[in-house]
Amino acid sequence: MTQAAGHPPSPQFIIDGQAPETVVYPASIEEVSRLLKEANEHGRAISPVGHGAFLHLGGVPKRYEQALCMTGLSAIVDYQPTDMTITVGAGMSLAQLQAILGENGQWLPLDPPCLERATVGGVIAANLNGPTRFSQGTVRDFLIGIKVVRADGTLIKGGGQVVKNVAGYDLPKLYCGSFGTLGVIVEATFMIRPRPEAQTTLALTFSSAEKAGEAALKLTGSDMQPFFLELANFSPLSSSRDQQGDAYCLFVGFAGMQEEIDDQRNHLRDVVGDDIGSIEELSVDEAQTLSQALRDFPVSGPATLRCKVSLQPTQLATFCSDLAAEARRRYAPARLLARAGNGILYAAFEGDTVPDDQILSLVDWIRVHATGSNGFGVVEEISSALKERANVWGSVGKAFPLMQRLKDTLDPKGILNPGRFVGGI
Amino acid sequence: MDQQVLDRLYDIVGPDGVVAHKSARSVYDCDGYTLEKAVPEIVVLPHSTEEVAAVVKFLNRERIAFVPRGAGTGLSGGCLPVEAPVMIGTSRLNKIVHIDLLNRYVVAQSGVVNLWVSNAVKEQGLQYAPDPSSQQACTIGGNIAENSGGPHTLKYGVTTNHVLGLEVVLPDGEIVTLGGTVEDVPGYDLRGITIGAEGTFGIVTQAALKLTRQPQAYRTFLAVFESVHHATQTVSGIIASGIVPAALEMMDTLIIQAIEEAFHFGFPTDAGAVLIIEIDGLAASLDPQTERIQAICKHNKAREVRIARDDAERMALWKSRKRAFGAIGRLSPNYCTQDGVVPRTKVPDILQRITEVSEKYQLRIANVFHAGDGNIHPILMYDERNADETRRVVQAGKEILNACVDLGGSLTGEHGIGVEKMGQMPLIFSPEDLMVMTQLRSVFNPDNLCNPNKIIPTPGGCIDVTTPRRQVPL
Amino acid sequence: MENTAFVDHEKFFDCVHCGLCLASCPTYVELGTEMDSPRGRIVMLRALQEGHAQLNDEVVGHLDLCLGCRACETACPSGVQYGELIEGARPFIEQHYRRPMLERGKRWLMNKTFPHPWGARLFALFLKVGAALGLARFAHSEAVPATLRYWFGLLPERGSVSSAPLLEHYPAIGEKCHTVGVLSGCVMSAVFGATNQSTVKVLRHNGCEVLIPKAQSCCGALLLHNGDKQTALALAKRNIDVFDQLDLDALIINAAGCGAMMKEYGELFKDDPVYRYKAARLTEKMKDAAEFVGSLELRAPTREVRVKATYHDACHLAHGQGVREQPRALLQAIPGLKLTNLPESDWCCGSAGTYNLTQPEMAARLLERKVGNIQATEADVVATGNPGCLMQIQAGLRQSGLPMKAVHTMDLLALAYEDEPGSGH
Repeated sequence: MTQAAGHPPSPQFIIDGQAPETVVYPASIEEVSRLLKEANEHGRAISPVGHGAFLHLGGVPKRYEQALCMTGLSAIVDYQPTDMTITVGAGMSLAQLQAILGENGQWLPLDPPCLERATVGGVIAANLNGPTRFSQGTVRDFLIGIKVVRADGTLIKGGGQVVKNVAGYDLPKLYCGSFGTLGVIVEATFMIRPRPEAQTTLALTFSSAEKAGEAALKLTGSDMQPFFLELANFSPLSSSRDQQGDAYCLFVGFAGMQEEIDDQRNHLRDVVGDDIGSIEELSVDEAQTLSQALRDFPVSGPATLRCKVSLQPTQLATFCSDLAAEARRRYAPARLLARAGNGILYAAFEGDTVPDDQILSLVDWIRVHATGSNGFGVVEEISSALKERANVWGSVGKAFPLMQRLKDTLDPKGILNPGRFVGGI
Repeated sequence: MDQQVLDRLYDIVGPDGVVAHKSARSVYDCDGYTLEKAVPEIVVLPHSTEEVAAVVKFLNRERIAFVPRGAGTGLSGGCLPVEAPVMIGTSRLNKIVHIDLLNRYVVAQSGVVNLWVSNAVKEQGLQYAPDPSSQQACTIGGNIAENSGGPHTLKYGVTTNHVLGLEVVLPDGEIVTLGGTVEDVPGYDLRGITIGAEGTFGIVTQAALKLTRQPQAYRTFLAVFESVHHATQTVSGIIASGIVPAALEMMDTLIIQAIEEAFHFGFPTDAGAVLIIEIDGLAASLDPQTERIQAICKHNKAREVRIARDDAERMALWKSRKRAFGAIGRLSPNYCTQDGVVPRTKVPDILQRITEVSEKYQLRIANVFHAGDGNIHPILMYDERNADETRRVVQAGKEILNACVDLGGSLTGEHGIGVEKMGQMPLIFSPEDLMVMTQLRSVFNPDNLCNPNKIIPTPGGCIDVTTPRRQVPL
Repeated sequence: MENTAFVDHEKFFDCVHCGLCLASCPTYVELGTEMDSPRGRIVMLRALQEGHAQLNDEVVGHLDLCLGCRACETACPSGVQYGELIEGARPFIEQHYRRPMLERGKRWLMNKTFPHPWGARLFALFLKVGAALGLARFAHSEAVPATLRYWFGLLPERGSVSSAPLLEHYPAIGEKCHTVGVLSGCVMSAVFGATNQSTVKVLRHNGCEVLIPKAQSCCGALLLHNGDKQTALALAKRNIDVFDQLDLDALIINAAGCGAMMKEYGELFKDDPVYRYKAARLTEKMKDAAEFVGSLELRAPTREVRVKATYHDACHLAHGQGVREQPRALLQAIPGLKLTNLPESDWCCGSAGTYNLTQPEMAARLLERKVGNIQATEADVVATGNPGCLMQIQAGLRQSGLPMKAVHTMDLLALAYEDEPGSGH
C-alpha cells in the first residue's frame, strides 16, 4: 500500500473538483478492511475509486477525505471454465476480465462504456451496462456472489460460487447500483456465458422517430432475438455532424450461430415492413466501430448535460422526437441513443453557451414527462455547480425512508461516498 | 386469541375474511414441509392491498407477530407460524391487474398462480419464464418470497431475473413500491433484496413481472447412458461446446425404474442414467445444435439418443420428469428429498458422496436433478414405521448437504432456508455474514413481527431435527 | 375407542401435502380457503379417520362443499385417490352426523328419487310439467323461495324434454363389427331420451349391434355420493348380473357420472368373493360413448353441421375417466363444424351430480364462471358428455339470456349421420 501524501492527487481521483487529502492503494482484502476500520474510527470520508472513468456520476460529495484506489485487487481468485463461473478481485478491469474469459470462448455478457477503465467493482456499484443488456441482461443477472468490506472494516459475503442459490438474503442484488455507499466491494463471482460464435450488425434508417420506434416494437414482438437493438437520432458511422432533419437510425445486432444469424438477417425486412429508408449490413470493421461507439456513448464527446431516462419501450419514440424539439428550442442540440428494447434513453446535450436555467429546465422537462408515465430521469453529467439544483438522481418516492435506514444501518457514520447517492445519502 | 383483536380483524376484512374455527385453521398448520407443524390462532384472508395494510398496521400497533402464506407449496416451512399467532393469506389477491403486451410485462396480485400468468399471455406468444415444478398451484407472492427456480432456469434465470417491481406492505403497515414498471429505477435495489427474503421483509401484494417470448421452436432429447459418469461427462461436454440448453435434467437407475413402473414411458430400466436435454430458440439454430449434442452424447458412449417427435411426446417426457417424485411412492412408503447445490463440475463428486452415504446408512437413494445448474435433489427412501431407518435418513440428509458445502456449493438451490435449514446456515455464513442479514431484516422489519424465526438462526433457538421431512414432489 | 376408519388408511399416505392440487379445485379458487381445497379436506378426513377430530358443522360443511369433480386427481403428482377418500367419508358422515332437518329431508328425497325408474320418471315429470307451465320464468322472481328459484332455473324450456322409448335390440347399420350394450341411465332416459337415441344411432352407423336390456338399473353413483353405500352396491350387482350374461364387446355409457362410477365396480367388489371376477370382467368392457366411438376407425359422417361449437369437459369424463381428446376428435370429424377452444374447459360447471341441489350457492358461482367462459367463445353450441352438465349449463345460458345451446357430443355427431329409413331418425 502506498500513500500518495504530499503529491497533488492525479486527476483520476478528482470528484466534482474536490481532491482527496490522501489516496490509498490497498493490495489485499485485509488492507481494505484495516483502512476502513481506521477511517470509520476517525469518521474519515472515503470514496472507492477504480480508474476514475465514471466519477462524473452522482451528486457532489459532502466530504471527500480519502480515495481508496481499488485497482490493486485485480487477481483471478477462481476460474472454472466448465462451471462457467469466475471469481475476481473488484479492481480488475472489464477488458482484462473479458480477455481472460475470451481464451476459453467465454465472456461476461456485459458491455459497459470504457472497458479498459471500468472495473468490476465499479460496474457493479454503478450498475453499468451497454447495448447487449437487451438480450443478456444487466450485472444483477450475472453476479452470483460478492465479498464486501463494511464501513466498520468487517468483511461480509453474500451468495456463493454456484449459479443457483437461495441461501440467505440476496446481498449481491443489494450491492448492484449501490454506488459505493453501503460498503466497498472487494471480490465478485459471476456466472458467465459462451461467447457468440458469430455476429452481424444491420443499420436501418427511418424518416422519423416514430417509424423507427415502430420497427423496433415489431422486432421485439416477433420471433427475432436481436443481440442488441439501438435507436439513435444520429449515426456514429457518418462523420458529418449535421443531422439529417428528423432521420433516425435503428442498429440491429444478431449474434449466435451462423445459421440463426442468417435466418434473422434474411427475415428482417419482412418483420420491420417497408416503411423504411435504407437497410444495410455493416462490414466487420464498421460493425466494430459502431459497437464501440454505441457502448461508449454515455461518456463520449463533449456535453453540457447528459441524462439517462428510463421509460416504457413504447414511449421511447415520441419521447425522443419531443425531447429533440425541446432541445433545439433551447439551442442545446441533443444526441439521443436508446436501448430500444429496454426503454432506456441516453441523451447528450451540446451547446457551450446554453444558460443554466435552460439546462435545468431541460432536466425538468425530462423528469415531468418521464415520471408522468412511471419513468425516471437521472442526470449523469452536468457542471458541478448545477448538480444540487438539478437533483441528479431525482426523487425515489416512498421507498426513500427505507433506503435511508439501510444506509444508516450499514454505514452509521456516513463515511462511504457521503452525499453522492439518492436523496443525499 | 383476544376477542378484541378478533373483532378488529373482522372489522377490517369482514366475516368471510377470517378463519377462526379450530377445525378450519388446523389445515394451515404446515406447507409442503411437513416435519414441523403449528396451527395459527387465526387466519386472515384480505381482499385488497389496503386490507392487508390495515391488518398489518393493526397487528404492528398491538405487537402481534404474523406470517404470510400463499398457496402453502413451499418446501422449507417458510410460512410456518412459529410464535406468530396470525397468518395472513394472499389467496384472495388473485387478480391479474394489467397486461402490457407491447412492453412485455404483467402486473399481478401476489395470490395469482404462477401458471395463470403464462396462460393469460399464451395466445400472444409470450410467457412468464420461471416455471417451478409447482407452477400449477404456487403463487407469484410465494415465488417472490422464495426466489423460485425450475427446470428451465439454466437458460432463463430465476424469479429475481423476471420481476420489475413490487408493491409491498411493510411490517409497519406502510405500502411501498420497490422497483417499478420500467427497467432502471434509481436508488438501492430494494426489490432485489426483498425477492428471496422468504417473507421476512413484508408482505408482497402485487408485482410487475417481465414477459418473455415463447421460443420459436424446441427440441427435447432423451439420452440413455450406461453410467452416471458418462451422463455427467455429457453435461460438461454440452456446456463446453458453447450451447446453453434450456434444460439439462438427469435421472439415475432407481428413478428411471420408478418412473417406468408408474408411467410406462419406455425408459430402459437397465440404463445407468438418462439425461433430458432441451434446447430452444430460433428454429434455424436447432439443427446445428442437435448435431453437436448428438455427437457429444455419442462421444460419451450414449446407448441411444431419442428426440421427441412432436409436442405431445415432449410434454409426456416433461410429465415423466416432473412426476418423478410421485412415482417414488411406488418403491417406498416414505421418502425425503434434499435440495443442495454444487458447482456443475462437482456433480460426479457429489454423486459419489451420495453413494457412500447410501452405503454407510444402508438407505436407498435415488437421484433426479437439474444437472445443468448443479442443483441436486437426492431422494432418500425409508419407512416411517421403522424408527431406526428414520433416524438414519435425517443423518444421511445432513451429511449430503455438508458434502455440498465441502465441494463449494450451497445449502439450497431453490427450496429456501425457512425453518428447515436455519441450523445449517453457519456452515456457509460467518457470524458477520449472519449479523448483516439480521441488520438488513431490521431495516424492513425492526420488531421482527413479520415472519419471525426464519432463515437466520438465533443462538440456542435452532430446532434439532430428528425425523425426516415427509416426501415432497417437485 | 370407537372404530372411525372409513377407508384404507394407507391411502392417506399417498398425500405428501405438496399443495399442487389447490389451484385445480374450483371451490378453493372461488373461496380462497384451504379447508375447501383437496389438501385441506384430506387433512380433515385423516383427522376424522384417526379419531383426532370431531364431526362438526364446520368440518361437514367443508366436506359437503366438495364437488367430487376429481380435478385434483388429474393435478396430483403422487396419485392420491382423492375420490375414494371423500366418497369413503360420505357414508361415515351420514351415519355419525345429524344434519339440520330440512337438509336431511332434501337428501332423503333425492336418494329415494333418482335411483329408481319411477323416481326418475317423477323427476322427469317435474321437469316436464315445470317446463309446460313455464316455471323457468319464475327462476328470477322474488315471490318464489330461493331454493325453489334455483330448481326452477334448472327446468328446460317448453317442449325440450323428450323420452322416446328405447328398444332392447338394434341391428348394426352396414357391416357388423361389434356387439355393445348401452346403459340407458336414470336421468338420461328420463330427460335426455333423444340423446340415448343419438348414441344408438352413432353406434349403429359404426358397425355396432346394440343391446339395451330393460332389466338394468341405476348405476348407483348418486346414492354413493350421498352416502347410501348399501343400496348403491345392490344396484351395481344388478347391473353386473344383467350385462355380464350378454356377450358384449363393450358396455357403452353416455353419462360421464355413471361411467366414472361404473368403472369402479371392479374396485368396489374387489373383496366380494362372488362378484369380484364378474365385476372386474365387466369393468374392462365399460367405455364412455365418445371414448369407444373415438377408438374405432370412424365411419366418416356425411352430413354437414354448420355450427361453431365448443367443448366442456365433464369432470367425470376428463378427471374421472381421463377422456379428453376423443370427444374433441369426434366433433372435429363432423363436416362443417368449427370447434373452438373453451377456456377452463375442465373446470366444474357446478352440477356435480346432485351438488346443484345440495349446494345451490356454490353451484351458481361456478355456473356463472362457466357461462362467462362459454360466452367468450362466441360458439353456437357447447358440447359435453354428461346430463348433469347439460342441464346446469343450459340453465345458466338461459338465465344469462344467451342464445347458445348445450348439447351432448353424441347428439351433434348423430346429426352428421344419415337417418336410417323407417327408423324414425
